[in-house]
Amino acid sequence: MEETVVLEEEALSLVGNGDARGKHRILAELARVEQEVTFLEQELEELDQADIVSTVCEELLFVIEKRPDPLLPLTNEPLDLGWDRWFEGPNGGEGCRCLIL
Amino acid sequence: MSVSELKERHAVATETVNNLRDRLRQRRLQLLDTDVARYSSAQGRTPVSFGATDLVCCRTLQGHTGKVYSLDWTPERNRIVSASQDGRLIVWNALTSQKTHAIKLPCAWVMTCAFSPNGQSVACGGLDSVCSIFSLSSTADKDGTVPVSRMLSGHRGYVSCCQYVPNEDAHLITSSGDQTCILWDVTTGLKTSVFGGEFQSGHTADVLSVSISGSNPNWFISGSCDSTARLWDTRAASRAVRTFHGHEGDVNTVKFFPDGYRFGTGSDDGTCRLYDIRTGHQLQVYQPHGDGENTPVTSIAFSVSGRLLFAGYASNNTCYVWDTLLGEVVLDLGLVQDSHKNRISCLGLSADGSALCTGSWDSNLKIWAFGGHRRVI
Repeated sequence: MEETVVLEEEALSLVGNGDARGKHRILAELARVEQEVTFLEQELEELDQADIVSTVCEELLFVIEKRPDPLLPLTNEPLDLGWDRWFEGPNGGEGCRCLIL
Repeated sequence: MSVSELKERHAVATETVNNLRDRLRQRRLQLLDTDVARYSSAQGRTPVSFGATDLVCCRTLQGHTGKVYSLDWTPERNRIVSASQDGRLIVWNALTSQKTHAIKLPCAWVMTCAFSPNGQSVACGGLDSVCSIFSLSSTADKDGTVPVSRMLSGHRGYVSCCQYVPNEDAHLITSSGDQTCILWDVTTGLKTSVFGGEFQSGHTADVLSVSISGSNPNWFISGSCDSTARLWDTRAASRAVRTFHGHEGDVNTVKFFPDGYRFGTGSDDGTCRLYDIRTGHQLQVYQPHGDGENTPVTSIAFSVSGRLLFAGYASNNTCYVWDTLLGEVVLDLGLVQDSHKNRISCLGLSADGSALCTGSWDSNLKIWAFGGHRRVI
């Protein structure tokens, strides 16, 4: 869904009646839109320097594969014995089941 | 300047904004030479392969009498707070399945809960538009009522999500149906900063979710009904650092990637997406095949390495486990033995990543862990 900048109906109707509040509102909205222009121009400039996606993917692959993960069947060291604590001692069948009334 | 001149200037500026957005979109498409799945496959990676009994349900936490809407783990590993339609917060020791607290809330319409970093307080919020803080050392009466230790008032709409800033018991961020996020000072109960809102460059619809970066707590992501996710810097609240487009429906859930430089989203459009913070690129779309109709994503979480993306959906008890590198579903927890009997509404990983907790409309929480044979690279 594309964002579009729309002048508020209320502001338009107030302006039609020459209401000072409506003009103030338009001024504030105009300032916001003109600021948005500045920000978008900055973003376009930054994008010219941005890496292509494949460069980011290379980094992502490295980050993911270097970290030990207890939920993976195949993972890096170091392993932590604490990962298996869920299978030691009582399991869910013996836990507290009281209902809160 | 006259009103008509102002209107003309506004129209010109509006057209400039729309043209710039088009140019940004086109430029991004030019930089989109691949996605994560195609890249990883080209590098010879193959999908994670789970045996039938590898990821198992090892605890079922029973006690709520209504749908579970939200859950959060403590940083010190084993405790969970959950919030339910029954109007209660329950604090669990997930290892023993024992309930340590059952707090009856002043407003039963709760939508979110969070543990403080020191594990001594819990926060919650919902349709009362307030974020309430409870100290776990307070004594409850026989009804379970605990005095509220702090009320964070100021939102003009429901509180959809709350999260404490990592390692800062005094600061918390909320998201709201009033289209804003707020950074609070919990000790004073006052707003430190408001992100978005009238005349500020922020979300243009309800904000549904926030996620704070673990590696840089000044950054957080918000997801909204305006179909965007936005990156904010808490030191500069006047506008979002970046807006991430792509989704075609409400962004229900956002979660930072473990390294803090990427984040995931889940949406009503049925997809999850992975975005890069620094470039703003959309790196991958995770879209289930078949079914025809796109089932909304309710909640997501990454495994501690980021290799797995857990996603709960708004149908049956579906909880897909995505291989984030290959873009494939490698498991559906809804088909595993002892799975939930209804929609999964929330999920989260323990601090050490050894367990996933899921919360469901069936009123239960379940703990999942790897019970198979673990091989070391």
